[in-house]
Amino acid sequence: MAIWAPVNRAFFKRTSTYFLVASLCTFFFERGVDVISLYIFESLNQNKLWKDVKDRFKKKEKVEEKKIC
Amino acid sequence: MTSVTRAGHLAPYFKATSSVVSNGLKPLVVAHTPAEKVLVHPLPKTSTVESLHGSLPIQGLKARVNGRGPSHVRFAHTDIGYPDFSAYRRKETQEPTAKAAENVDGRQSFTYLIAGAGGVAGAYAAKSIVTHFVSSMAAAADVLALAKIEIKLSEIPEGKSVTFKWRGKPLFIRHRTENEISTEQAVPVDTLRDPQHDNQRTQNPKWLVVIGVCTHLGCVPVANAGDFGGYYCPCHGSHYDASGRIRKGPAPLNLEVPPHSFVDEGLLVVG
Repeated sequence: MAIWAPVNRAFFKRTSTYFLVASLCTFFFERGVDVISLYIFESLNQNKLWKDVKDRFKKKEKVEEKKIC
Repeated sequence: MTSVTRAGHLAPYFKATSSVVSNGLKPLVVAHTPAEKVLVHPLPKTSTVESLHGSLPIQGLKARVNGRGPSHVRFAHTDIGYPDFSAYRRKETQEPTAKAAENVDGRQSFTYLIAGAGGVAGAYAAKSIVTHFVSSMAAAADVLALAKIEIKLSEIPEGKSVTFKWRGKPLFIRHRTENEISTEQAVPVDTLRDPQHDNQRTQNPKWLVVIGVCTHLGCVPVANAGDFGGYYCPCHGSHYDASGRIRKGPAPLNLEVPPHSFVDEGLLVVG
């Protein structure tokens, strides 16, 4: 397997490099999982989240403030 | 059925006699055998080590059954199948002639990749568990929301010290006069007990923000009193100047300056 030879030599042979690569991958993995899961959550709960309904409530608050003044 | 017992080099004697000569062991078979039917291998003629060893009467008795030629001696390895490990072998190593060096990278990479993926996922899981429990020790959001106060500075006249309550402690906000500012700026730092220049204690020299707890035993000092025109602690007589620094009395440290910031010209946020 010509593809695997450089990968194996570069990353997997030495335990220290292996751990370094694993921890670097963890960083990107974490970011990826967080972004993807947030995207799934937001697409499932569309039009229910605060950022979607914020405008409706903000207008009301302004009206109330005017009344108080 | 006839049986012949052979015991090493005693065998020739069996040919001549029909009775078994005891060689110390219990006789296996006592049989009358006609001389022409005796089936015993002739002793090897060559005197190699192996043949001589074979002729010694030190081995077990070997029985021959049936006149139709020598029966096989059963050895364990002859009829047990060679174990087949092909179910456990990788595809690359099924062929016994395959060279390990040609496919070792692929095999090792697969193994390490699987283990590494598990490690990455495990590290992510461990990190989120640890952050979950560590963040549970932090202050709650409602506490943090109360932990900041906003103060409108236009309500405090010049030369006055106003007390607020902040995180359960008194907070002194002092609008200093030009005279006080120049006095505190001019104090030589090396004469102080807790040496801090006025600029280190204030962000805007007009405003002094300190926590009103005496650093001696925790009394609340009185504003605009004492020998230095700042704060005076009535409990044990500690004198603080208009920058909240200890100048006289038992207190060891200056009054604490909380983290604060001036959001815009008229608004101060403490916390």
